[in-house]
Amino acid sequence: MTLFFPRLVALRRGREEAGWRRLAALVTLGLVFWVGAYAITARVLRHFATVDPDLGRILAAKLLALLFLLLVTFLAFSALITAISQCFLARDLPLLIAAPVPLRRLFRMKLVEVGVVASWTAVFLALPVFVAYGVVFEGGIGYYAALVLVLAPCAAIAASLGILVAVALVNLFPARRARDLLSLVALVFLIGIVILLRVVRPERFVRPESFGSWADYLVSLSNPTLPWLPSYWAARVLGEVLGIYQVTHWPAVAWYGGLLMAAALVTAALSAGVFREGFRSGWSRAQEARQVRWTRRGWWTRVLGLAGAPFPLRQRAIILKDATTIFRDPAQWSQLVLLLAVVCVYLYNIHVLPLDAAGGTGYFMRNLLAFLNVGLVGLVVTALAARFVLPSVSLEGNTLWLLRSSPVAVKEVLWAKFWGGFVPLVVIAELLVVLTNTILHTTTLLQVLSVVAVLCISAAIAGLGVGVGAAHPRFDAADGTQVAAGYAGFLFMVLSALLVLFSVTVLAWPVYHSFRAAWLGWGTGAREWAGLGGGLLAVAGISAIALYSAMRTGCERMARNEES
Amino acid sequence: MSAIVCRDLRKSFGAFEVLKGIDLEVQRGELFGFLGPNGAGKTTTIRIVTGLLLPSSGTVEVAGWDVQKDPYEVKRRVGYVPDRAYLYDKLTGGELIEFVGHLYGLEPAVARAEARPIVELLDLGGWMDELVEAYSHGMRQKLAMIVSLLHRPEVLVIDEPMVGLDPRSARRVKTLLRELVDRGTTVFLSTHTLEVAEALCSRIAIIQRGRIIAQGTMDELRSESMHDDGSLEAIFLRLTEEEREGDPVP
Repeated sequence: MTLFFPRLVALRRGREEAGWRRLAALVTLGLVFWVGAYAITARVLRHFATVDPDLGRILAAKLLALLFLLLVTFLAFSALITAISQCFLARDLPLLIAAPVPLRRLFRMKLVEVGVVASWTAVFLALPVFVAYGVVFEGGIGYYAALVLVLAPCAAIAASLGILVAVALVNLFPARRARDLLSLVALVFLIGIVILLRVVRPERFVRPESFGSWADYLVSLSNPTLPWLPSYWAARVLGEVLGIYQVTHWPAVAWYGGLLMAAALVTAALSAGVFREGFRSGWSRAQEARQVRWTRRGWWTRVLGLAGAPFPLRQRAIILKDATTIFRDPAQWSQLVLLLAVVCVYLYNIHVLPLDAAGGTGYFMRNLLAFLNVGLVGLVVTALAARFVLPSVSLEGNTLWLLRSSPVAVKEVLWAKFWGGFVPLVVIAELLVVLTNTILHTTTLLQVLSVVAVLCISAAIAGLGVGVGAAHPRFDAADGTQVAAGYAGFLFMVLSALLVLFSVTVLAWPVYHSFRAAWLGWGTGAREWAGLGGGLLAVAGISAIALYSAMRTGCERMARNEES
Repeated sequence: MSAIVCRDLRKSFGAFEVLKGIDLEVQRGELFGFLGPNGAGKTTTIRIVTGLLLPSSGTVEVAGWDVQKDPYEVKRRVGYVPDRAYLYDKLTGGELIEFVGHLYGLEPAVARAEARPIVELLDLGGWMDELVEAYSHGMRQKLAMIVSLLHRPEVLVIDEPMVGLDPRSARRVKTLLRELVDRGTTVFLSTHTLEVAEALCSRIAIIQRGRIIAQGTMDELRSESMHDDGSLEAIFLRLTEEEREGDPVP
């Protein structure tokens, strides 16, 4: 407990400094998410039951197993990243290692720390879904007790494995700095997601006609997904306690619960052993200086130089500096690999959507999806900007004195941050839109409309990211995720989501009329063109207002903060 | 014309008044020492002089420009080296020189050419292609000094120049500062290393609890402290001790 004292004090101070308004905003957002997630899950589960009670039960069990599979995968990945950072990069480590703290105490502290830090977000997000299961299947207090007893070993297994793999990697991997390992971890995660998708093939379950018979479909659904993983054991325990399989089979609860507990104990013991043997040498290796790499001028510096050429000298300097910093920091660019994984999954899902099964409505469905895709791409851009654009001012941190003592205006700094964020964002967004539309075989009209709308939305989101990030900086943040997870991240997400929602809503009506006219064979007339033009103008207008006001507020707040 | 003029400079953070009316005048081409105990207000004064912070009241002129009215004109003419030189870890020394050069409107070749003699003098020649994250504290301090001089500032403001430097580097920094003053640059130096201040500075000011308690040449400080043959350390201790005894505890 002594080892946690500084963290607990910092947590309490942080909460006091955050203020009630920020706390209230975060709680409201949390409640909105919980209520929404609960309502959707409960609706889906009840819908399963109305289709066919037996099929409903099988689908509910399948969904629970998939949920746990996702949860445990996320926990494992998150625990590995957290373990590398908490065991080898945390600021308190030099003090702890210099103090006479036995390794087993340090391990226990790190296990709890990694377990809590790595799992609280996932558990927070999954909780309303579990509650919905409890309500729909009328699980009593026993279900919620079982839920706690199941989640704790899952988090413990993830944390133990995270520490075990982190210690092994730092000792074995040739990288000289622990942070370099994050790139490897990201690649492993990318491969993991692809394998997981290929093993589970969730798209099969929305195409019953692809099975030989109804019975084959039911059997395929009833077959356990990856039964040798703790995720299945956890889902099975909860499913049995809930009575999803009609009656509760207590020996199964004991067996799978026992397996889960035993797995948690065994992985913790193994992890403790590896930690005891490998932590000191790993810590020592992690302190060595990074090997010189990517420091001499190469093709990529010329590419960056060309990309920055249209900008004035000072802004170009800031843009190139930011880009170089990101490319040399695996902790940052490895997240781009993660993004690539998400994009692959996104495009793959669009590709396997059973649109042909929709018969005559296929044309309409394809174009509807392509239109909704504008909103989805807006949300992807928001997520990206939250990680890379929003923290760009905060990440200047202690080095801000270099910019502040030079004759560069705050405005110039922020516009450099804007262009540095906007250009890659818009390239990714447009690629996503064009690729998706090509997969969906949409009309040229919708293709052009999507490209223009996404251009406007991306500019506004980049501006919001820079403006909100400058108005609410966190110069003490260790990395961008801390900024994205704070108040600035919350404010930015809400504003960006509202902008995306507004844009899609404004465009919905003219797009609907235009497709209706085409569907009825009337062609696109003057009224439809005027509607589409007006919609796009409205999107461009609101985007320009959002961009201008955010940048202005950011400039004013940053200048005021600097001088006081 | 004076290089730095502070008139009745005051600064408060909330209810706490850090500077309580500072009056200072530093002549052009002078190496001026600014001394004081921890928390006396040295860094706050330096941050105001370099345009990083606005005063609550009073005026500051640097190289003939008002810091509040024309901050960018001041920044064009001032070089600043903070006491803890945080630099971009993921840039090499050479890239940092180019980057800072760009901020002052210098083309990369010009920035490198300006830096070269100082880089050689401070023994960093072999480190220009290495990432800053591999630099020691002293090397970072030297690199910060190099980038602060790229634009040939009229006034160099330097906070604790010797922290983290080995004896050879410390000597070279002293040589560099003397050369700068010989070329007409004004150096405003804040330090706790009293021997350095005594050896280098033509005039010295001592600040305590937000007020200048003494300023002048070494001889003037000696007579003010009634310590006729005392070292700067003895003078400093006597003056700050007297002030502490005379002042009510806030």
